[in-house]
Amino acid sequence: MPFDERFAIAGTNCLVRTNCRAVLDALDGWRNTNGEHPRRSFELNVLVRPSGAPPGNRSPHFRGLGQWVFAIFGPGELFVFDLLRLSVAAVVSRQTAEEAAFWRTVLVPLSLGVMGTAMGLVPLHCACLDFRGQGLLIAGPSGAGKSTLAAELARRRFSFVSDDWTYLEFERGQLHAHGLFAPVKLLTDAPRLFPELNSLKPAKSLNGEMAFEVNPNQWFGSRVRSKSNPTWLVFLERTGQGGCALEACGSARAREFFLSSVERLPAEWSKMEARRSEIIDAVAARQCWILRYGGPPQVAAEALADLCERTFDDAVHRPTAHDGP
Amino acid sequence: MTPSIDPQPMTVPDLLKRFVPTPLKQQFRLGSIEVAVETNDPAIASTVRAGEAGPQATGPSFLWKLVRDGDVRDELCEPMVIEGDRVAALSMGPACLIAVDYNSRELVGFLGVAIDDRTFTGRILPLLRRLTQGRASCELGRSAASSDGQPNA
Repeated sequence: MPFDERFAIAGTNCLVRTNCRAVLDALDGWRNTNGEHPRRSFELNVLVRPSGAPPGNRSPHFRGLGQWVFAIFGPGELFVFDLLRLSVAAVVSRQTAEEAAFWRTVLVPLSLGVMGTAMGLVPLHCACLDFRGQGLLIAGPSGAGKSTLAAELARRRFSFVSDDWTYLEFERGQLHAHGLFAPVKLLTDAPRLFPELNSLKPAKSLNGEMAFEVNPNQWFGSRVRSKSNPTWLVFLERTGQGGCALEACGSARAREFFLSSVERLPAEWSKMEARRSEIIDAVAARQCWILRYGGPPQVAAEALADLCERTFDDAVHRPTAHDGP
Repeated sequence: MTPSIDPQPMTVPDLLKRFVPTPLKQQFRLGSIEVAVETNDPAIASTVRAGEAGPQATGPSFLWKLVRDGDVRDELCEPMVIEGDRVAALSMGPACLIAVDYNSRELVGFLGVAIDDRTFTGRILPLLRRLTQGRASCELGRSAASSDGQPNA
């Protein structure tokens, strides 16, 4: 491959080799400009075919067995993830190679979703906001409103890390939460809550849903950060009534929530599973709350902003039982 | 109203089909290699056995784990091979996805329902044999590519 470059992606060092410079340019936001050398690493080898059918409308197909995961996004294209060697091999059309959004919003998140756990980087389905250098993780069942609340917090004094998937790791004994500079994904009724989006039109997202995918910096004026130090963990529960109530949540309950929703792993990956459990334990050991609300997201955002402000000093200086190995 | 955060009595769905049981076992010889086959499809198990007697195996054994994928009805596409360091993968679209690790001597694959016995015997089985013997890409010619980017024509 004539082109290769290293990128710093969510606490990992990703070596990309390709025969097409457009693939490297698509990953521009992760160029390793500050000389970071994360100890976790994986490879992405991308062969771009000069000819061949473009992918057309993407309906992804995934399969996995043992150390392998296959992904197909269109005819004549293939992605093969090897969890043992921590490498991805791909053959793609030139059209896909030149589609920067595909690499940033599909392939990179997919690679970390598939191989993260094998690298000790655990993908958890939660949003992450940053308040004065401390992370607020927002979890909850699908439809609870994580993205909407993340967008509302981004409009306030929170920095945005992620709204959907957050990647957790121990680095030098400390828990870190990483995001991927991904856009916030909001459903089609978002302009009702965020009038600034009125001029936008929703588009079909990867899962076929119509949605707004917006840059939180551009549309909400939020600073976007690549990582934070998780301090608070909040579970959202929508209720039928208006109002908003916060209730302390035990770490056992938080732990169960995450353990029940993570990917099943084959028996031969028991070490990987144990490492994932350690990270989930550490997440569950943060200051943990349940937020029940039924009104507009502004009400819930106000409650969370108040919580972070009120407990900031205590949270920052409080020793955490489960900081890492 | 959304459900509470307490876990529901359900398991995470096996979207990748990673946990499809492959209870049917078969063995045959491929040259000097003893191949153990695990599959969920009686037709595959019986096909690999038929006519596969050979000389006494002297080399190390190889495992084939082949899953008949009942959800995939696509026809076979043009074959494509990716080769890396001691690994290879072959795709003919969703109907045929195969990967081999020559270090662990394991081949895994998903085969769609459009691959009937005749196609399995005439097209897939020869490919599996060649992959096991490490010579798939040269047989497949122009459609093959190595993961270091050079076409293996």
